[in-house]
Amino acid sequence: MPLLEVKNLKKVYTTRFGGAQVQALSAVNFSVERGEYVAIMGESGSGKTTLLNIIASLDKPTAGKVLLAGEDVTSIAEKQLSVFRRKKLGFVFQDFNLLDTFCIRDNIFLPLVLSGENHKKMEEKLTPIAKKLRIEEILDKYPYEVSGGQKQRCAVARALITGPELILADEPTGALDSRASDNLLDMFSRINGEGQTILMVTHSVKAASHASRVLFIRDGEVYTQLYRGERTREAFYADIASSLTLLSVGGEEHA
Amino acid sequence: MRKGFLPRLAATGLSSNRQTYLPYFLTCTGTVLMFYNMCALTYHTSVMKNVSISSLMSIGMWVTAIFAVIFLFYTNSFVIKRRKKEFGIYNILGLEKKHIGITMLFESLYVYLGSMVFGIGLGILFNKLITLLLYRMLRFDPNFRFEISTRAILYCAVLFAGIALLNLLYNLLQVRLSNPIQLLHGSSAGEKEPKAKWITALLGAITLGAGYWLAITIQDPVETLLMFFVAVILVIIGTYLLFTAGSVAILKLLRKNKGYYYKPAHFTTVSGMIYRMKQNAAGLASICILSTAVLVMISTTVSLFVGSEDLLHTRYPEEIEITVAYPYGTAFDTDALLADTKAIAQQAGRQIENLKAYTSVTASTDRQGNAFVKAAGGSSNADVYLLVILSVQDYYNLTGKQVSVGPGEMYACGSVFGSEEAEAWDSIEVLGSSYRLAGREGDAPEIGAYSAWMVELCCLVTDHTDTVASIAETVQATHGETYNPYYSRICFDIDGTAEEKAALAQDLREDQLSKYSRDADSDPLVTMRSRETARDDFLSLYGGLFFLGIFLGSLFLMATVLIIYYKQIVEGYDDKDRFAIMQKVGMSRQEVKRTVRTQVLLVFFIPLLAAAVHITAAFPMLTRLLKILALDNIPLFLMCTICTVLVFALIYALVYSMTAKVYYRIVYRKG
Repeated sequence: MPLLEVKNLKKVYTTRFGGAQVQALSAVNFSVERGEYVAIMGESGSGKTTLLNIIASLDKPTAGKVLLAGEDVTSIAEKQLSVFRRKKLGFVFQDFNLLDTFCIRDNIFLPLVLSGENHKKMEEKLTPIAKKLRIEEILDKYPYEVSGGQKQRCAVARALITGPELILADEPTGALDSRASDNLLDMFSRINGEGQTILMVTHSVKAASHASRVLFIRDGEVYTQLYRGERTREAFYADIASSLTLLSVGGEEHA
Repeated sequence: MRKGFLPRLAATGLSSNRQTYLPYFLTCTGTVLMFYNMCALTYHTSVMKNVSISSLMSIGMWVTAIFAVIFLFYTNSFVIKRRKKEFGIYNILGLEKKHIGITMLFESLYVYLGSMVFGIGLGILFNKLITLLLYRMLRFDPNFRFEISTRAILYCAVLFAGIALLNLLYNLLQVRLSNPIQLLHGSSAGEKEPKAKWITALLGAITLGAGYWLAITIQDPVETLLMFFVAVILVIIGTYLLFTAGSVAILKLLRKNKGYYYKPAHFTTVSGMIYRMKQNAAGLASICILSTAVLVMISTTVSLFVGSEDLLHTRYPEEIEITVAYPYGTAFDTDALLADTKAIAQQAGRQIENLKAYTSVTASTDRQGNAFVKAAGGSSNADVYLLVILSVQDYYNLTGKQVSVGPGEMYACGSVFGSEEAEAWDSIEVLGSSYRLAGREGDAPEIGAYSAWMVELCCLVTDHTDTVASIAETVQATHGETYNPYYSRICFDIDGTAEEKAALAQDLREDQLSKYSRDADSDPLVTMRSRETARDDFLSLYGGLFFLGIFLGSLFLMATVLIIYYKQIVEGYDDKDRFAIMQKVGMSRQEVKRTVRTQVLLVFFIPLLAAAVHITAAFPMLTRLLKILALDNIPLFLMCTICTVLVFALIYALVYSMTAKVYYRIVYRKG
């Protein structure tokens, strides 16, 4: 059974006073296996973020299903949603979303504290993650005292600490310089190598070339997909780039 | 730039920022209303005739004016902080700072004109109500009627124009000092976590402790009067220091306690409070002090007003008290005066009850151990012992108590004789002569004429009128020729209605004035005190105080409420992003609600709690202050204080629930 199954997902936004309808997703179908590293690409307005929000249970679809480990995300009751989000999912955002009022350590602890976890256990969980992400030194600093790359690594630590089934990353390299981006992508690859499933939405071809599979979305549906297979990252990069060109120039290849 | 564009932009600016401007506008209007009323009362033709009321009202007017300046400046700074981003966008879109300035000028003008029109309009309506109320409450003369005060309108216009100008200058300075990028991020500038300042916290604790210590330990009434303001200032300083430094210190201690800190309910609250405590603390301390001021003002003035009948009875134990003072060596026919008085009462159809008639010798002295010597000039009232020397018979006439006193002996009554020091005395010395103590009492009898003096009253009973006469001779010799040592008093109650009592008092006064001329030095001096005649003065004074207490109390209450409201709204906007992040990470709706509730609850009830502690510490001092004003009814004061605190807490709780709702609406993200 795949870890994540997205079936016939449809999302229509209606403007506040009735009127015009905007279709963000028309019929999205795909699945992600355990341990996979999937990137989703597409132009602005193609529905990437809507898709991610629905998978993250932050938004409800108009029709269709999202199954995470067999459980339908879209039918979870409002009350259980936040617990579900906390336990099953880890989030990494473009703008880090760290809280200035907490030191890095407390930022990472946040989901655990919300789950009512014991303080000693939290420390136990943090130690290996902090070591892996090389943030042991800055744990007692505040977000405004560290660099963007460090912030994003902390955000990754926060996503990992709950031991989630799936990491959802929304343009994780969007606010980073190229060195910090490379650094983070290496980190993602390493985490994926340890068996963590990752779903990443990105604009960046370079970021996508780290994934094992890339889905292209256009006009609210999955247009095509590429597997990396045995290719080198450079070769995969070139393939993704040409697919993107095709995607934006015309739709002949649509199968 | 097209003409009329900037004024319109200003109007749009106001209406699109309703959520912050409407409360600001209401605040301005409310303050105008209050100030207009205070002014209108101060310059009311009837009020101006009554010196005590008019001076009370003008104090109230000044307090309101100072308050208006500080308060409106404070609220304005909240409002402008929220709008910095908007001005930044205008600036980037090509509006020069000059144009932004003009837009601000128009905005200020609109708010000023609007609040003046509404404030004075509503103020006049409200004034009509107050006039009625005062007329009822203070039993003012029937000529007290409603009037529209042009002087008050003028003062309002000037004061609030000044405040508007001050605020405008402040706002312009804010825009001038910053570049567009800063304006854009005006309200989200990252602030460093404040350091815990242990020394400041300690200093605060010491100052506050000193204030409390003064309030609790000072016994002497005159010293109380002097030290009251010292204590108030110490407590204010202590409160500010403790709130600013102490709060961060305590929160940091809480954070160190990991078992407490890493709980869902405490985690976000504690860290959030530390983060913004510096500006929070000053606000909370202000709220605390304002609340304390409201509580003190209302509870004392209410007690005075409720206890004014009590007070009247302390000051005037009898309905009518006639005192004749005359020098040694002359005689005064008290019996004739009594007969006259009785005749006049009978003529008026009034019945005399509880008659007391007695003669005494009075001298003010200093005390050195058990010796009472002539008072040196310049000693304050509190050190003066007022001796009232009577014969056994006169003491019986005054108190109805029979005591036996032998030759060379005295029976002594007064608080000094109940003191520990006096236990060792077996004799006392009065102006050079020594007397054995035949007995003693810790309480002096009630004498209306002396009830308002802050002196120690000592009643000394001798065996015979001859002994009293010999003391009178000594007093006359030591106090000089113009002094009258002898006092004869006739005190009694009368039946009848208030008008009948007052009429009799009037009759008696006229009769005495005609019969006992006051011209010559040697002539007896007759004074008469009537409770009924004093009642109006009493009511107008305490009623005036009561009115002022309620008026300023509600003004401060309004301020407290608005400060809290603004604080929470501003914090809500600041917290919005934080709560959005936390919801993404997995904070549920219930948790958001719970966190909001603890946070708002803390912000609300810490100052209230501190205010309650302040009031408790101030209670002994306030009781003594009230005692100076002759209100010696502690249970009444206690009741009034508790009621005031309860009513205040109720209003406070109401505002709390309202604010928590608004805050939650701002912070909670749907979806």
